[in-house]
Amino acid sequence: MNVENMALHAFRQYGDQVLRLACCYTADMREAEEITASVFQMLMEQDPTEIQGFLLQNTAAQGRGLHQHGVLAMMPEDCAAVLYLHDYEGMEPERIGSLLGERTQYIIQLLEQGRELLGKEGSV
Amino acid sequence: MTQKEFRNLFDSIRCSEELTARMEELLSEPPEGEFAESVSGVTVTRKRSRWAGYAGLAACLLLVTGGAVYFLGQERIPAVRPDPDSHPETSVQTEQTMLTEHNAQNTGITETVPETAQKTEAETTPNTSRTPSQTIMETSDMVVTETVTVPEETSTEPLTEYEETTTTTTTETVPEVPESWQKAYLETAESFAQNPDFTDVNFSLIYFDEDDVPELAVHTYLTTLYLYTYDGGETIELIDGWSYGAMGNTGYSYVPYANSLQNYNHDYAGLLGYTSYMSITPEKTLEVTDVIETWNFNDLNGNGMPDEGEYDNELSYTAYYVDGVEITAEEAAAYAKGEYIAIGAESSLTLEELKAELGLT
Repeated sequence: MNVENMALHAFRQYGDQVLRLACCYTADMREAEEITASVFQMLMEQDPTEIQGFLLQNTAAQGRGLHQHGVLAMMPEDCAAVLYLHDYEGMEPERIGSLLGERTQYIIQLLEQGRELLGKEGSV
Repeated sequence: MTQKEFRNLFDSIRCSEELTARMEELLSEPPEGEFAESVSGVTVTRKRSRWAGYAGLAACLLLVTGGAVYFLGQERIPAVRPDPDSHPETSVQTEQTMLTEHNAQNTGITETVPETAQKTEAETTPNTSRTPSQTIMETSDMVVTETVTVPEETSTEPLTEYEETTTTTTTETVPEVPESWQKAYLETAESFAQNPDFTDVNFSLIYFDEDDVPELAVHTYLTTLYLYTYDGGETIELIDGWSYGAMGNTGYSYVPYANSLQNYNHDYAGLLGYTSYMSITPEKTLEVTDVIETWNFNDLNGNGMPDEGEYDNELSYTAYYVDGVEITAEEAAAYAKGEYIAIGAESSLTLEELKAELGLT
């Protein structure tokens, strides 16, 4: 499979996942789409070994530091992403930690904080 | 926020048609950069190392036998090394084996040892285009001959800036080719086991296609699948890290020796299901052959997704579609090639267990 086909195949497979993760950081669809496009272009240029990990890592990296809205602004950075990856994607805290470059214990802590905040605020 | 609301929120976030179209266009373009043009039009003849190995073995035996007979009939062979630069203007590779004689101490026994395993590739580069054809030949203690063919390219552009013909000499190291599928798979497995980016790595050998050489399945993080087949002396990647176990994707199953992979995925909490069938093509790629959509809701408004009031009777309403055409349950079932087994369900091996399974301990 050549690089562009690989990237296209990866987009079909992981496009929604990347977009959802980007939304966890931006809460803005337009910004999330820009991050998604950028990340898949990077994939096309770099051809990494572990595609999903590469995509999610770079999505998180690009999403960090952006202006956040609503309840996201009240959450610690990565908190919504951790909730999404764990509760929706079913990923283990160890895997999430390796993707986000954080210790597993910190991921568990974010999960607890996020759930508490969501319970108080009611919606994202 | 309830768990259902949480799921619904993310279910509703999908790549829009506009973004999908944009990305399809963007990612279908060839990569930009200085190497983009240099690789176009190049055909690489796949090496068949098994036959190359046999040929090498035969050549080796011939050399050793012939050399021994000749040595016994002669007193001494002077070692002569031809000048590798003697033909700089053509695409020539120099093949040379030097025989060095080691006299064993006070025994009078003389041993003949092939000394060099060197390869010189002289590449004549007119203007900026590649040499029309290249041949790489290598000799070592085991003679291995590998041929890479590059089709002739004719440049229609007149020479402007670079009228001069340049000659470049490079030396390559050709990696050792595994002699068997067992060794090839072990190399692949070890690359996963040694990569710190992967955790929870385990392996399984499955008889996916019709031949007697199994395919190597690699699971990482317990939720990601890689699949390799063996052909022409090398491993070929069929699945490169596909996720499962989340977002409705239940995983990948196969029927032994049937060349059929099945995947079930669903949206809207199972109201809309997709059963995909894939098989290995003669070109050794994995191709989706059929996708069956299972609608467990009555799409009264025809918008292609379940809306309130359309799935109250989801247990009693089911329809199957292939390429937009409705088919019966029997026709849908006929796409299956037998009883599907989840990849890795029968055996999940550690690297050490895989080595034992491959007979390489």
